[in-house]
Amino acid sequence: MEDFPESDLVLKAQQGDVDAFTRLAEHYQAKIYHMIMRMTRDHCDTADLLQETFLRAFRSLPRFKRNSSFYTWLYRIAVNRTLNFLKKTRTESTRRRDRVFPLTSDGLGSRTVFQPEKRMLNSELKNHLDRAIESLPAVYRAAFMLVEFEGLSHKQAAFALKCSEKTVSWRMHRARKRLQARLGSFIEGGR
Amino acid sequence: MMKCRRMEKWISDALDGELSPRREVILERHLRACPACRSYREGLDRIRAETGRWISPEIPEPTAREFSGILRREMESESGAVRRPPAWRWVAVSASALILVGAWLFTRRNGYESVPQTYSFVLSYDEALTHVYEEIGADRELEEMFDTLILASLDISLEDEAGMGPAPWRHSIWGEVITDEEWAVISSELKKDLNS
Repeated sequence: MEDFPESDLVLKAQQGDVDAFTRLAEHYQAKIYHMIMRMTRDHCDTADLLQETFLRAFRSLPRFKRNSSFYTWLYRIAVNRTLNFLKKTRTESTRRRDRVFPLTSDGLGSRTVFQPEKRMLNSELKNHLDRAIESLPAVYRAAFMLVEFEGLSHKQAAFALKCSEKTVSWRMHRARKRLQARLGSFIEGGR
Repeated sequence: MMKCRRMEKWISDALDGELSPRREVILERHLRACPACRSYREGLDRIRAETGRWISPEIPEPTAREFSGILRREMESESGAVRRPPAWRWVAVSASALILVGAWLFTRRNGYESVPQTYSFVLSYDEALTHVYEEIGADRELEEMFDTLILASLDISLEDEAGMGPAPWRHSIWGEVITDEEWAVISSELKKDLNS
């Protein structure tokens, strides 16, 4: 990562060097794909949004003031393109479930706070949680994905979503309330 | 009950590591005494435990291979093209800027201090939103409209309430839709108006 000449490439790309921008894109495409896929959960949509994100970045590059890192700036564009996309398609009932990438797995997770005695490993919970997250309004879902899955702080998520930390905090709270309500019978303690 | 609703919000903040130490102490004390809130937190812990086990989607090899070629073609075809903002953007931007300036001047002139103490709870961000969401209740459509159309706007004035913050045209919310050239024109016109 230290060997990657990001600053030089950004400077060259800002002067219209397509090769330099292509190198930047190749360097970050996997990370951005990962983030978009978390939100759309559809490979075709993600591939389109990935392309859109980088094209948008290329067009906007002359206005990039280097107040943040290039990746943070790119991330922000990706989140907002995806969010706009999700808002447009949120009522689209024709999205086929078989196209949707299954995010659930029986594989090992990254968090270690999981307590075996409280496990509810049945596939019913996974499926319901999967559907409950998918049913969240786009703005709630985006916040939830960024904080819960990408591990962003409220401040970082606020920057990506172009809102305040307080809004992120409220959206996380509302998202969780909704998930609790939807999953009531599957997780003890749902109100 | 009102206290529990506030605690639910704090539980969510605590899960994200965003609750202040002072509030954490209050929350923990409340949780020891309130089985319902304890149960609520356990439910959220369970959701987190479950999502923590979900797999990470990786970019498929063919997509990664094709990506650069497609992107390069698109960039080369776009290079040199001159883009002008459509006229409607000017109208929308001007109208929005006027509203913002009006709101900004109003808050500058009146200030929050002049509001009677009786109503001060309304101006507490968290308390006010708790009340609003209570009123909204189970109306999902209304909730989403409020969140999308109003909550985001509230940020602009409340975030900067301490020193009234930067001028309205400096807010990042405009960054996505206004070009540098447009910025220059709008801000110079507005500054002229404010100074006169």
